[in-house]
Amino acid sequence: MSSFYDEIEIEDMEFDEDTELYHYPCPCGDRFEISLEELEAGEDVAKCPSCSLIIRVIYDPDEFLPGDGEEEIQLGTIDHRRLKTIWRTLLSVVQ
Amino acid sequence: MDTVFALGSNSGGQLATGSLDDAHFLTETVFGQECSAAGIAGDAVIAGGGNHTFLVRNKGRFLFGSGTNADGQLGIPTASSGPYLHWTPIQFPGESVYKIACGWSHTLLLNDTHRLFSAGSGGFGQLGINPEPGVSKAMQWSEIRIGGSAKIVDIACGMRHSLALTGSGDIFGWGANRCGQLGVPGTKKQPNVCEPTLVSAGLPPISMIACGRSHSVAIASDRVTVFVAGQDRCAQCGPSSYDAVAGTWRSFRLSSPARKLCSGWEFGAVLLDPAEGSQTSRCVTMWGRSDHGQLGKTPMTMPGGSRDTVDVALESAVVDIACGSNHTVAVLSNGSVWAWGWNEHANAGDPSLADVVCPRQLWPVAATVPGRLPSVGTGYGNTLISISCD
Repeated sequence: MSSFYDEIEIEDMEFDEDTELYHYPCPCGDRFEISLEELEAGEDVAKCPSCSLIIRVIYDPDEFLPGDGEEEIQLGTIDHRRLKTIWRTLLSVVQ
Repeated sequence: MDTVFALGSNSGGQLATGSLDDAHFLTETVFGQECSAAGIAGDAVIAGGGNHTFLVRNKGRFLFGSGTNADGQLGIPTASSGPYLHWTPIQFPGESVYKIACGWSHTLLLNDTHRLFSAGSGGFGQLGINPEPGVSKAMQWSEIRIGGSAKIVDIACGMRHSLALTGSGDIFGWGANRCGQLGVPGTKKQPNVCEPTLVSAGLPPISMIACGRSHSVAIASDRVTVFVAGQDRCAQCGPSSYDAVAGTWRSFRLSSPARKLCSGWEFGAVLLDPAEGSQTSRCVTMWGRSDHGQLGKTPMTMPGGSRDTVDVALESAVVDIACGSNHTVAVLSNGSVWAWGWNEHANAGDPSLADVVCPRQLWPVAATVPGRLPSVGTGYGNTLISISCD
């Protein structure tokens, strides 16, 4: 029963900077979500708060290494995520 | 007097029932005080997306919306994101609404003069309006300019992509295309198409279009040749050959002519006319994902979905169908309404919330004589029925 509704690449999920949640539409109208913290801990199951459906998140764990952001002048984690968002926006504008 | 009833998921207030609670039983929807009496009766067309719903009344002259307006998807030009918990009158350019279609959080509106507008989220290019840099949503109806003098006659929205059909049978597409769902090859580098683009080059004239979550379906003007493009992980591309016939489009044929085409997130549904000379009546044929009874059959019989088309057994001729994300609703010629598929929010009518793997009657709930045939519409996880009690 608890099989995954789908496998979704992290690039297809949207990141909410305020809540630090990655999310993706759920068929019910709510959204599957997984926190940055969970991804850093190696979790790959995004859950919908309103129903039993779950998805598996496909991502590169090396891009979500926990806790080493500050010493690396924050290039490793935070800016990387921002860059992705900016890159996606740029792409949609350029076309 | 006409009454609109709602069932199912209500996370954005899209059921217009005056609350944010799911409706596990047919629940009457509520009109806001600002709604005119003329607008709340008459014929109804219902369309819904992730968290928003539209009700079109009286030959398109009145448009009402409910649910979230967080990304402007209701076309209400206000800073208020809602939720709008009852039917709220919505202004639009033109005299009447000809067609309306909803994606996850965007909307396409085609008016009586065949001008096309969009509103809502545009982060994947699904608005087709070339947003200014950094603008990822439109809080008001924005006109989509489609090349040449093409007259748009039909529209469809996937989760994050959009299609428009011209009177001469061409398809224009825009929005997310990472799975090739627009019918043209997508790349990881350029996953979105932001400008309306001709996507049906090489196909014969098309007469019907529909969009799933990440795939598209079109039927040629011969009404039996089906073209599908995009994601195929759950057999949503049906019995099509793996070789593309044009762009990313693949094709297969139906056993008899199509009257209406619909798509769930990962399954297809076609209302078929009887084959010539046949004694059968109009029926529904489906293909694709089946793990929650989406095809009206026990999932055990088709693990992983059905690539072949399967007919759904219903007690009389089918006159209309509508698909939610994972459920389907059908109106029969005897005035009854049936539903099947995923039902976790009672969206297919079973208050036990168990999947409805065999079509279940939603209406009439008791032996009543219906007036005009009911109209049905769906959002992703919900069902709405407009009942005439004249």
